[in-house]
Amino acid sequence: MLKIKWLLTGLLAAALCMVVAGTASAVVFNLRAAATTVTMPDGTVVPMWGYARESSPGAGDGTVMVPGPLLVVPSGDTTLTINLTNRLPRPTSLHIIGQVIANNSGPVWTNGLSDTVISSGSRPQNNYTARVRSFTHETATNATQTYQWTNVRPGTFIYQSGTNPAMQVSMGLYGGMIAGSRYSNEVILFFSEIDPIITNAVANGDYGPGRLVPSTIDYHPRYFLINGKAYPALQPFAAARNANEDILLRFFNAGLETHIPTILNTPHMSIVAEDGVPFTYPKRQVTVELLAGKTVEAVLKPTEEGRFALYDRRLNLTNAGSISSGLGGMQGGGMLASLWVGPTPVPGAPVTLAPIYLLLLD
Amino acid sequence: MLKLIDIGRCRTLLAAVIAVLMVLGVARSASATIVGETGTTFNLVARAGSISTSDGDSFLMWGYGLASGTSMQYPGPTLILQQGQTITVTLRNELPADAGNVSIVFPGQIVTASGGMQGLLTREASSDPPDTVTYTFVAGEPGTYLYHSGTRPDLQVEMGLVGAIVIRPSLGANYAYNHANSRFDREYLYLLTEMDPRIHRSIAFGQYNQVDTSNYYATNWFINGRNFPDVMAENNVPWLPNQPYNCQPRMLPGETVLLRFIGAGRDPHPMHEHGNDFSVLAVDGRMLESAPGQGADLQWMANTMRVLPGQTVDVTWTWTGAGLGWDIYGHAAGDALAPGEDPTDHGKPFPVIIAPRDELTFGQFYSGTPFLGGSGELPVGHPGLNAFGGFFYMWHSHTEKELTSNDIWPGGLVSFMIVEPPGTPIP
Repeated sequence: MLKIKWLLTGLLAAALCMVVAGTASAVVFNLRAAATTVTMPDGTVVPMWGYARESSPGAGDGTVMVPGPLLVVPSGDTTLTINLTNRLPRPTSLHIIGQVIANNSGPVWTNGLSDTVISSGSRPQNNYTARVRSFTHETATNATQTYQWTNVRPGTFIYQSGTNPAMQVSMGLYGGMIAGSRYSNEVILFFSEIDPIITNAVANGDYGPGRLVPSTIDYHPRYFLINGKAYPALQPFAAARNANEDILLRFFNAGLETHIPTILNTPHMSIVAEDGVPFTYPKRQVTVELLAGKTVEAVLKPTEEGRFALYDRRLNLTNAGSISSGLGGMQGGGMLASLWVGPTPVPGAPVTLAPIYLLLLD
Repeated sequence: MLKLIDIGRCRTLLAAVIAVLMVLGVARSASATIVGETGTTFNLVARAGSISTSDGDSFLMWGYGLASGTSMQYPGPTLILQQGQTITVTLRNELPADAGNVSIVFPGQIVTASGGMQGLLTREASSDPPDTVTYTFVAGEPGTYLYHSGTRPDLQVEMGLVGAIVIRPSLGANYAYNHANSRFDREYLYLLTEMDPRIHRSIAFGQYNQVDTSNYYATNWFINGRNFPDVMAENNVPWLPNQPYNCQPRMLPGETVLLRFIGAGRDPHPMHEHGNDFSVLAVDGRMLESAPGQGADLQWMANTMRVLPGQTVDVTWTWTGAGLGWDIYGHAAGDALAPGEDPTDHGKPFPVIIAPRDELTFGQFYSGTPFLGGSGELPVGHPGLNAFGGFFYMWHSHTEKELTSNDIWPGGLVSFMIVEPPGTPIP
């Protein structure tokens, strides 16, 4: 019997709602891609695109979130089906980095000068200037399409838009997908960035050739997030109830820059896998090289209870440089979190926190 | 006809810096071990001070210094510890009052902090009034580590609050770890940092609202707190009072050199070594072994190793001249082997005819002959910086723009390994 225990704070659950199939059979998720806004700790409201989980394709329920819902495929399941409904003004699509899609009729080609699709599948014959717009078949605005994987392998993965990913991934169209588990304590640590100039331009119709922001070439993130939140909005993660327990840290990076997650007060982590591929020999490090579009699994075994600070050693620890008066008033921000090992609830956390969510899969 | 036969690009570099080095008086000897503070109790202070860069500029810094001293240093004192000892570090905040709190975190150590006030990453010492905080930990496992400020690290690491830690194994002083295959003859420290000068100007002018670390853009790069060519000067030279540590590796043929790289800034740096490949021995203070006691059986060879921010990398390097195809000593076939000489090329002649002196351009590190330990006639005005007839190998960041100091080339992340002839005294 597989038993996965999930310990998530209320804020984490809100930021990264888990979507779990009930029984061991083919897993079906209904996702809606739609526009939303996120509020940064400095009060800035940023328009973004995200995903919501719907009860049925096109139902319109569920909350749009960035990153999108965490998709969990239980151990033993090898088929994953996602029905994607598109409420965005642009066509979009899905792919999972590291999983082979079964029903792809893409890629989708344009002539490179306009949005007119000239071919799906192989490159248009004798056309050497055509450009790929989507890696997989597209879902048009207000349409629903199915994406299916029939040979799902276990591990930690990122799903994201396969259409114009330079723009659509910058807009927030990404989420985590995990298959199987070997650990009773797991923590999801999903890194991402926001360049508000690009996201505002897209939302305001100022993005594209000949417009205010013609492309993503000047991408310059100003907000640095874990599970969709920047410190101080980011609250401690309950990681384990006792010391000397293994904790699996699943790191994802949907940003475009390299981040170096580091944990204090521990001799080292054991890095056990990357991109869903287990290592023969774990790497013992306190630094994790988390490249763009990459996942890393690391096992932490704290020898004592307490709070373990986790931060990006690239020092993306600011919220768009916002400071209060004087250096003494400068607060931390960005990719700064902490793991709590010990009895819950997490001491010192705001009393407004929702209860710890315990999720058991059998 | 330089001895830098595999570094054609260096000829220009050498010519360009000749005047600078003549003024500075380049080091002819350096310590072959890592300079730092030993013991179990360290009383540090955080203070403001200034450093000089090799393009002639100077910058306001915040750094750690010894409480017994009067200033700060960049980087902070290198703490040289013995495995198993309990270490106490006190930190007193003598930064300007409006700098705010300061602290130290020790990645890879299990630290108990007391005093001061609780901050985001650890306990912090206030600057107004000056307060003290104490950190204790057991130096549990040997290796290379770093320490840095845990208070607004995006600003305070940039301002200079970083330092190195070396924990020596119980096996002995000439081992990096508790295994025979981590033995070395000499060791050198490469603590790598970078700088965005705009931040230092804004802090110096009190324009705190101009500081935005999300717009960080480095234009200065340092090894042990100095740019090239200042890295080649002695330790503790009086004209760099707040930058006491050099980076001047030297060795004799056949020796094993341990290089301890530390990514102390916020960008990765691909460190590249001429002359031979190196072996990557350890990362983050852990030998690359498949199982405890195996030694570094997972080590690999490379000539460029990326050092990530917050990460430490230990590599070993050796050099005998093997593979050059000519006898580096100019031996005749019947001569005895020199110590550490690879026998394959013994007695093989130098492969080209050396042009007359008046037809040569002389790099400042040329000894006058192409042979190790040789000395020949040099033109009038040549600085003669190669006292022992050594071979100079450029070791540097392979992100080539980092070989500058605020857009002045050469500078930044460059130093030279000097392979000295057998018998050369190296401290």
